[in-house]
Amino acid sequence: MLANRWIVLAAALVFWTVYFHTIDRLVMNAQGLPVGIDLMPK
Amino acid sequence: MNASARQHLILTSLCVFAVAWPDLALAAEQAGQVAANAPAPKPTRADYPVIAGVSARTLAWGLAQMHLYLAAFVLAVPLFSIATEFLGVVTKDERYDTMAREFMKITMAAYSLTALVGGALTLALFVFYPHLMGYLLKVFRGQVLVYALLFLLESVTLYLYYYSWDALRYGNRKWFHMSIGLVLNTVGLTLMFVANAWAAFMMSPAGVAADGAVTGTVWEATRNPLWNPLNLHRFLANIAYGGAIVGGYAAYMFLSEKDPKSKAHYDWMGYTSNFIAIIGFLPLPFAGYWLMAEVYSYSQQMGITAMGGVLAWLFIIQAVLIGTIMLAANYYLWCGLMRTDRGALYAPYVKYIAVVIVAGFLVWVTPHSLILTPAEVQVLGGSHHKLLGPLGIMPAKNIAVNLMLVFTFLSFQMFYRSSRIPTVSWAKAGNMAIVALYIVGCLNIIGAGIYGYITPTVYKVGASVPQVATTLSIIVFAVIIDVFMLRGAKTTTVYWGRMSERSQYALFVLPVAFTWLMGLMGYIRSSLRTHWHVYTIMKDNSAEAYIPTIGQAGNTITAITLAFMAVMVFVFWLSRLGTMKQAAPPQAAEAGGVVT
Amino acid sequence: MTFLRVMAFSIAVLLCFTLFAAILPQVQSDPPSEEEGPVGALDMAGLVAYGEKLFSGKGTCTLCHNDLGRAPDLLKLDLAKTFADRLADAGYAGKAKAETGAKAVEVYLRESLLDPSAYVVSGFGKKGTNDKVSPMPKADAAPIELTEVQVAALIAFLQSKAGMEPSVAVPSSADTVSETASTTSEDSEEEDGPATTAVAALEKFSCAACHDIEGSAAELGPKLNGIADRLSREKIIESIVKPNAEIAEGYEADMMPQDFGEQMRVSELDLIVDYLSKMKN
Repeated sequence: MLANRWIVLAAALVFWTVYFHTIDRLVMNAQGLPVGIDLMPK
Repeated sequence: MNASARQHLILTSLCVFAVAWPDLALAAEQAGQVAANAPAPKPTRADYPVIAGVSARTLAWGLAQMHLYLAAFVLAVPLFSIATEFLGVVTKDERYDTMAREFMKITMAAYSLTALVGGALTLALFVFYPHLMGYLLKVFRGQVLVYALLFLLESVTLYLYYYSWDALRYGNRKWFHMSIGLVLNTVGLTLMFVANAWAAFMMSPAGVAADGAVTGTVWEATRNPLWNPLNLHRFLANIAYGGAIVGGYAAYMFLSEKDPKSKAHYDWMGYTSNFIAIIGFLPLPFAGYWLMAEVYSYSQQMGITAMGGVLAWLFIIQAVLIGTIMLAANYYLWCGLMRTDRGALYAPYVKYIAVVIVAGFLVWVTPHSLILTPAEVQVLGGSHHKLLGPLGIMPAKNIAVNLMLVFTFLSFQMFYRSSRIPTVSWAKAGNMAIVALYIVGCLNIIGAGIYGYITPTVYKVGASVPQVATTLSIIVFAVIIDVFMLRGAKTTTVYWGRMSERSQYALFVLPVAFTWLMGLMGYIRSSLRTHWHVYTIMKDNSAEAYIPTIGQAGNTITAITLAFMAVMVFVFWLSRLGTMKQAAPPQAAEAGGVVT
Repeated sequence: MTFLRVMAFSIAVLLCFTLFAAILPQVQSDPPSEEEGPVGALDMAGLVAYGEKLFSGKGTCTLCHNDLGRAPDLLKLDLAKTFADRLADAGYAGKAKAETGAKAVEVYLRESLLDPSAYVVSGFGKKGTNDKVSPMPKADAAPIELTEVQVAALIAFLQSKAGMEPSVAVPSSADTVSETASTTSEDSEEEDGPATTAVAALEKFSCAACHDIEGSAAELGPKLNGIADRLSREKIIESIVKPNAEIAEGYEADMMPQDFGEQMRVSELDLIVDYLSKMKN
């Protein structure tokens, strides 16, 4: 049970990181501010 | 819902749409039908009526602000009244219906007062600013008549909604009753949208030529650049405001009542009102951001006057007020943990949330430019503090406000969890998902803020949108996960009424701060126009065309707030008076008295 | 008791906000004064100084042209190099291309002020327009409404800052006087021609502001109702054109404008005098 919990946490951390990074990029580009995969201005 | 009720709802919805967009009818009006293509009037100083030494601007300001306070309140209450009523139908819990009706009961007197003050405002505007009003009438033509008709409709639906409550209590009739409530809310919203069009037109005119000649339809003038941002902002703010005021009422009743059942009722009412206030409050920064973005888009000058020029300090005051509101709302939620036995489990986390909220508040309050004498500037080596100065600009402020919002939501989530024990098998995993959500979300907010420091200005400003999106994401996903995780949860008792006295004072801070904040925002909105009645179209040549100092504005706002508080005390007192019954005197024969 | 405590608490909270607003820097923002224009002859130094005043005054340039990055910081940049770079930029295709030296800079600056989107410096365009649209407002349109003289002054200021001899023409005294007249008359309801009726003429020169005429109840000057009984036609004319020649009893000298003789057309004076000559009790 304990091992499960921490694995879930790790997986969730990865999942949310991908999610937030994606919407960050989408939102910046949608505003007409071109950013690359590293979110830096193109 | 059976066929008959469904028919009622459809029919009402159709009526609602017919009523709600009267401008569609006016929009068909040809531009050629416009009577005169004369430019906007150019009154000289002597043209402005001077009557008995009355300060026209102060009078108009006072009446307008009072009208807005009352109107915001009477627009918001039916909104959450119908929402609560609907909740009552869905949960089949009588308490919701009782509370919904009570919301309406305590506000009945406020409606006529709103109309009264609105009438006084109209009179004052026409008397003291005849040229401006004449011009606005030329621009908006028939829409003002529609506005008047809507008031009639509002009164009718309001009385119908309130007085038919018992007659349309159950089953199909209940749905019919809610349809009336729906029409009431739609009419109210339309009233606000129409009035917003005029206010927004004065800031960002559309449908007119550069010299003011009317060239477009009423719809074009209505749909000016700032109309919809103002609509959204006021819609949300009304909800938050209405919740705050009702919360104040509930808090007062809680303190006054001695009977435990009444206390429990008013404690629950206070909690619900605070909840409504927070719900309206959380998306407000987003709506405010959109409004400011549209201001900048329409006129960069107007935008910078607001945030970087003469009015910049106002936003620091706004920060203080919002910080106060957040602290009060959170404090109330933390106190709420004492209503449940499991609440004590969450109590240790409160201090961390408090640290974040207070730190956020302090960052948000920190200005970029300091109030310094020239001697102090010399000692400091500049007008900005090297370490604290950067906290004054946008990236830092956005980190602060978004984190404050996230942690306020966390306070609420903790309270909500304190009376529910999840029974699903994946509860622990679900909690981990939520924990990860908060961690990554907060890091993202902070990261986007730091990003703003190292990128050009345009990116700095643009980075605030991902921050808001993050805050909204955290809230939405946390709620979704909770909804599933708490399905069939074991509920523990919530001891409504088990609250400290000082927690209620937090509920008084909310309406006072909100009211003052609204007054401040009105001052900003009006000042953005600088010395123009209609920005770039019709200049203000009156003797009071200057923007008053913040101190003067503060005094005026406080005076109007006090007047409003007096009015609300009267309104609530009236609703209590309506329930009082004097005991009949004992019979004359029994008392052995002589009949005279 | 509860009521009093709640009220006292609420008022205390209110006072905190009021106090906070009172201790912040107090700034009263007045509408731009129309008397800002210098009347009379200006030399180049005066024009440059006027331009500098406008830069942070009526022109509202410092709102954006500062160190916060919204627009080029004109006060800190090396303007000589900056102007050279702008004119040499491959993307620049404006009117200044046809000129050289200081004249080119003048044309470039005037273009930037009156048609900002003609050329947008890279990175400063409106979001999403790829630097094709400038967020800068037109300097001669509302709400800034700079006059031709004021535009020239700003250009002179910026050229002087760039270390070059300003190439704008110094406005003559006739120009500046007519500028002031036109900016002040913008505020007054001046129609574009002489008044054609007596009532219009009386309104144009605001007689009712000081004299009680047709019930305006003003008391700064003598009542005009029944004036025909007191003054002959010649005396009425003298009272308007040379007010200090004879002061009515109970009134003071130097109250009435002395320049109606220059401001009024003969036709307007005629209308007024005819009208007043008929005002008997």
